[in-house]
Amino acid sequence: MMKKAYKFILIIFFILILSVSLFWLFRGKPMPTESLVEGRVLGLPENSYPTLKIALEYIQQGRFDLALDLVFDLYTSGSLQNKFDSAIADQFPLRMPLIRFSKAIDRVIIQLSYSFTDDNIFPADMTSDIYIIPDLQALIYPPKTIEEEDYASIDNRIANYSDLVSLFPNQNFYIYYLEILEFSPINPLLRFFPKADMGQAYSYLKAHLPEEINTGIFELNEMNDHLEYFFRTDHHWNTIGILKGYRSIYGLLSNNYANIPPILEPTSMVPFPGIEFKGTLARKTLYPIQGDDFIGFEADFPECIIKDNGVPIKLDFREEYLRGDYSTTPFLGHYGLYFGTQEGIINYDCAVNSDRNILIIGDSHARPLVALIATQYKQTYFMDLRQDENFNLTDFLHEYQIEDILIVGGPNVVFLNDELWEISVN
Amino acid sequence: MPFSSITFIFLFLPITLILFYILPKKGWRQSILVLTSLGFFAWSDPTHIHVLIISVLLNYFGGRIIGKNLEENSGRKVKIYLWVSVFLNLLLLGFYKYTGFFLNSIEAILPISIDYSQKALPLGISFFTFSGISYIIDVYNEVHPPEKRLIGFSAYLIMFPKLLQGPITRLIQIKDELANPKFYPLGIMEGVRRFIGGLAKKVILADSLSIATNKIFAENFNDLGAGIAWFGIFAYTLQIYLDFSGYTDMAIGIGQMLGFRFPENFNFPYISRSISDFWRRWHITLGAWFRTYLFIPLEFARRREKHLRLQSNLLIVFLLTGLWHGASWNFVLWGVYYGVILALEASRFGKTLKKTPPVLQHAYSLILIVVGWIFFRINDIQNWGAFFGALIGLNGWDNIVTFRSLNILFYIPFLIPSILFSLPFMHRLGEKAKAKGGGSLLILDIVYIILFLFTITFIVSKGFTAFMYAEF
Repeated sequence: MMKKAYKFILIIFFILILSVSLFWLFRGKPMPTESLVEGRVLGLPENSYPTLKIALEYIQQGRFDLALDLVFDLYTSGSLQNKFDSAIADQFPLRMPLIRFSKAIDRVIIQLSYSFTDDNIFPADMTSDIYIIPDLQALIYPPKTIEEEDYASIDNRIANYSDLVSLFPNQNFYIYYLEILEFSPINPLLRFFPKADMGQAYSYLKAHLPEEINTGIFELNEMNDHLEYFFRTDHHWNTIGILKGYRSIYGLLSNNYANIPPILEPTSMVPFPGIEFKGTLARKTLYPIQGDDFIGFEADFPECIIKDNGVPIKLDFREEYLRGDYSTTPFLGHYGLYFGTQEGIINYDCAVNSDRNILIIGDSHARPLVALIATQYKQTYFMDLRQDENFNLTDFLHEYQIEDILIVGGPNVVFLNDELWEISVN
Repeated sequence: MPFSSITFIFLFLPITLILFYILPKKGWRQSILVLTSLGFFAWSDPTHIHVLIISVLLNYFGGRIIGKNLEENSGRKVKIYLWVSVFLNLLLLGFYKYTGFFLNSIEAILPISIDYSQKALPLGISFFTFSGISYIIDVYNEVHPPEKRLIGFSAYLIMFPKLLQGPITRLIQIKDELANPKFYPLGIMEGVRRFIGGLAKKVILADSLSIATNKIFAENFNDLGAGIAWFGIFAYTLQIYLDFSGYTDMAIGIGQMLGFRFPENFNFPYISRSISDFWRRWHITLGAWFRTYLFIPLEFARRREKHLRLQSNLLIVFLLTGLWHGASWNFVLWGVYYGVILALEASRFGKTLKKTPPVLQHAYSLILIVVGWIFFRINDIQNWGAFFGALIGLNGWDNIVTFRSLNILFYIPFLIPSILFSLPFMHRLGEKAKAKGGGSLLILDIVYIILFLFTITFIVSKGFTAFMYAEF
């Protein structure tokens, strides 16, 4: 019997289950620390356990009880095990090729499933809830539904805005809402989502906002607006959209700012040949799509000193890009590199003919605007509340003289997510 | 540490197998089984390791004391020790699993308020407690003598492949293998095939269907059309089978790799011709447990009662089967539902059913099984009506919630392989290839290896989810 039986499966199976740990043991080079394609830091045994490092320090100091408490808490909460699981999943050999293969299988199954329909927009993969419009080579999110609890959040935000204008009557408040496809009435998937928001939540906000707050909107009136002003593979707006938004905000700010310095207009638009920008949506789905063109612009920016949390920094690589000094590596985060990223509160101190100061509150959509709006103000401050959940406007206004406060961004920043984006006051 | 996690497949399993294979003595192999099983549990549920140890000690010493008194022929004492041991096992289970349910029910009935926060359920408690009770009763019934060595007994009770979700195994079923743990290449090969098959059922089919069903059952049922409601419950019917039988295949496969032959838990339950038939094919070891340790003793104890004895015993057994699954009223009523049907089948209706054409018998069984899963899946009894309303078309064929609004249209093709793997067809194909041997077997093994690689790709890309029966 044994002679006839093939031991094939036995040998291959054991080779396979042993090969992974052998790969980790003998790979001969450090494990990768980040995934460029996914745009995230990868789990590593040594990086995944900062608490363990502290525990080791306690042991070295002879404080065994503290070390034991720390490790025991980590273990009993399951956090130790979860992080270990994540780290070894992240360090699995051939992980990205396997993920790409799995996504390819996803697409075959999706194609098969939709071949019985007359749809022309399809899910781009099976896990991300992102769709592909093949004709336009655009990845999009489906429409969002606003539930009752979301309206409770909106009411909280409205109450917060009312508090702001009553507590700070000497400041001008502005809200600039960036309408995105998920919350707009032009999403091409609307027919499948009868309960979709379609802009109703923003209308509700606007109807209930105190009249002291000045509002503006970056409106999407047709699908072409989305294609013109947003990346096809990323959730951000592109340079054309950013400039349009800036002009619109400039007009809004001018209402209460009589001697506003002239608007900064680009002297030329600068394409960056060789860059095929593949943003968040392309990363999440790994859909084989032509990347976006990435375009910058030249303009007569004034001299500015830029600080991040009070420390002078080089915020972005705009000048390098314009010089042609950029990488064309696929999936590189060009948006963040070109427009900059920050760790705390950003301050632009610019040599402009103005003595007014502004505080801008927003997310990554707002960041490219800061350099532009800074050309109208002496001091421009930018705060992304995700980076400082303890931010308090009362304290800030005690410390800095601010005339204008601009809140700019999409639905989360402007009216949803009251936990993160509500502006704290004393 | 689910069997479908990378940590288990590529670290825990190979390390355990290598240690097990290289150790030359049976006692060492038992010890390594106990140590790895404790490690397995401690990794998965660190805050309840003491519960597992209590259960081991309770049943080990309970068995020893009962055995000693049996030797001394002290009948009354033996009975007392039996009842105390069984009671303590049930107390352990009841304390963690049913206290909250019991107090909530009292609160609902009486005008009192009880301040109690539900305790987390130790993983696998329902399974290892029932194994412990079976051991105690078997010792009492002199099915086998008590296990003398604590290591040997621990290896039986907490062996990791069956620890968290069964199969609920009686000591007598693996006593010889446990006494002399051995492994054979043929057994290991069969175990590898079984493990891969179970892993694929779980990861590729059950986990995919679970995404669709979780989305559907999270919706307001008044917004569901009949089409999606039927898809939801049909997909859930397949999912729960593929999930649980997938786990069982993996457990039995790992057991075979370690030289153990655990009892089967499933025998293609969806081809049943009656509900009685279904319960002989679904979760077989649980059914066997209730039959051996509850139903037969009940029948014996009430043997003088003539009127509706069998029916009422079935009702009691299935009420408790429902309660075993979960501490909530939907599980109790799910059990009662089956109790009533089985009571009917034990009456004249059962004889009539047997005379109907087989196709009608299959249809009858499948419809009742699918309806049963509604009670099982929807915890909030108040929502049952709305879901049944959706099924019978009260909200139309299509409504607000659609395949597209939930983005689950692409899970429809998963039904085909899921159906195929729920029926004996694929199994028979594999058995034929094994019987033929030679090239057929080689092709079968190549298919298994491809399936394994494919499944690992799924896990790396999409992650893994907990097994459904882990929460029981």
